[in-house]
Amino acid sequence: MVNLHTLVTKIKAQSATPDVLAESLKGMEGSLSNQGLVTQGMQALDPVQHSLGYLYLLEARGCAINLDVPSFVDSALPFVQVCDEQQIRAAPHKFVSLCRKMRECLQGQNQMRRAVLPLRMALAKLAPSPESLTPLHAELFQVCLLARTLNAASGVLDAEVLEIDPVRTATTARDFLLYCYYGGMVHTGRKQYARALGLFLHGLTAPTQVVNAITVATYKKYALVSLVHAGEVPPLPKYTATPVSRCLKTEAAAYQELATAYGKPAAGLQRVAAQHQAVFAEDGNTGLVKLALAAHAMRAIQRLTQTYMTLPLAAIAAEAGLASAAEAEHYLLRMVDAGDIFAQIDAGPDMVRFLEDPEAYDSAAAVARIDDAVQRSMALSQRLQAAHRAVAADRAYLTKHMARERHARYDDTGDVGGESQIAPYPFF
Amino acid sequence: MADLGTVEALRNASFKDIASILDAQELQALDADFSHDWPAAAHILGHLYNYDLPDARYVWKRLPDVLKQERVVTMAFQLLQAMWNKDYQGVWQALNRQDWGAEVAPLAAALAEKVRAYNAELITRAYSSIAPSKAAALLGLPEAQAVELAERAGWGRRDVSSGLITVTRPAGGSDERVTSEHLARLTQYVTHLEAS
Repeated sequence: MVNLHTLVTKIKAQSATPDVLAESLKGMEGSLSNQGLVTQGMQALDPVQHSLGYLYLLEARGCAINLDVPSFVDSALPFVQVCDEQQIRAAPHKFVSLCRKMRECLQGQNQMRRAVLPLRMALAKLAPSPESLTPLHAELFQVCLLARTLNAASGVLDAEVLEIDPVRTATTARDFLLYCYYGGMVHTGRKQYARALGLFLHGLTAPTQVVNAITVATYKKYALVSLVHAGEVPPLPKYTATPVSRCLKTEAAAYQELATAYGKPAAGLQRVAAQHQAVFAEDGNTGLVKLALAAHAMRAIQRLTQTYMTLPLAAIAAEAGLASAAEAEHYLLRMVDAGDIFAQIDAGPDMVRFLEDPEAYDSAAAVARIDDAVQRSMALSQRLQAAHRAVAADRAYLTKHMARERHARYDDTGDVGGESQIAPYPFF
Repeated sequence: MADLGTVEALRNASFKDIASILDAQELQALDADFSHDWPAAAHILGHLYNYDLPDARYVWKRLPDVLKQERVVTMAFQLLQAMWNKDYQGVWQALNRQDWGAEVAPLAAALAEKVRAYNAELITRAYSSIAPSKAAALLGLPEAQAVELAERAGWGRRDVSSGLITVTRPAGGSDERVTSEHLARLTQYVTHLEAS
């Protein structure tokens, strides 16, 4: 057992060297179940100067079973905002655990909104760069969803995640899946469907040997948002892990049936939706199913643009299963507004003329858009090259690679010379 | 919660910043619930002004019941509903009301202007000819004024024989020409491609 004096002196002495202190604190963790020690220790320490020690104590306090919730929250909220980022990065696991405890407590008290800003600051402190993923990303998105302050997550969502460092940020595979799931939900809530689909797809295609329940839930959202956004569910890419694509047939059967029915007339679709109503409700997806059903008429109109050049409003209403020409006009107006189709209504004969996309890609705006895309691709490719070089120079990789090469050379009896790995004839 | 700083900031802010100012204020508030003097109607209208309908909807959703029952807040909600459902008649009914109150009225008036300009642009995209009554409903004006607006803005002309407004889409000429900057960027692309 460590006494208060030893603990505090050690923390004060080693706060300048966080890595060393983290090691010593690891050894003392057993003593921290003593709540009296923790309380006194917290009083003796300064949250800014001795952030790491304070973090250990506060986290131990959060783990206590008979937790005094308000006082824990009142010390945790200011701490994550003022703590020293260099120090807390020496113990990412503890910091993440503290933030989770804080979120749980606020959730229990139904005060989710108070967690938004502290979590956003905590995330910025833990992440080595704005492009790094942390477990706090998913926490923040979940909090924003529960507090219904979705736009508070937009800044974090806009910074594209390109780095995952499990050691420095204590990020696990589960954190990544949750990041994709909750991030996609935030985008969906704000009707940014294309971006939502992108995130969902990242989660679905993450390489794996086993199927996670989060992946299945992600697929369900992915299927419904695809229907709302594009009117069909595109097949998953080839690089999807086999266990995932295999299990979805059984795990998400209702959703795949709905997707099949979506390409057919409205009556059949309604029947399938009603048949699986209980499943959708249980998954919390009733709202998205409703949106998908509402978008069905618009898809029917969109299909007409592929066949006809001009069409009377009444005919459009009949084809799309709408009640009247006036309703068809309303839908058309919405779709032109959203940029889904290009059409012009002629009120004289009540005819609609479907047009081609007027974008000729010769305007300054189009050039700027393409430029932007090229710039981003270039930045990404540079990053990829850097990663490639890092792997090529990695000691563990090289050792393994050399061993395998040597092995292959001994086995290869066809190549009598045994020295050259070059094919006798160039293939390209 | 809606302290003096907020009120001051709102008075000086341009309409498009109102939503973000109030969003930030809301997150910084220490008490878990909204206080009674929270400018909820301005918050909703501020988001509508930026055509951020989902965000406006979430503002409404997180309001406590007490605030939801306030008269101006219900008015803001009705407007949000109408805009959400693209119910243009409802939009103008709500926007043209005179009882928004001194604080919200300027914002409501600015929003009306914005919606009118937006819908005028929509008409030029979606119609080659439009009945004056329909145009009036979209622009929130009496028929005669709607026709006048169309003719003044140059996108519509009343056809005497049919009585309809013929819509001509204003040609959006590109104003920017290729500069040496574009050329420099192209060079950069080529060097990148050759290096990799």
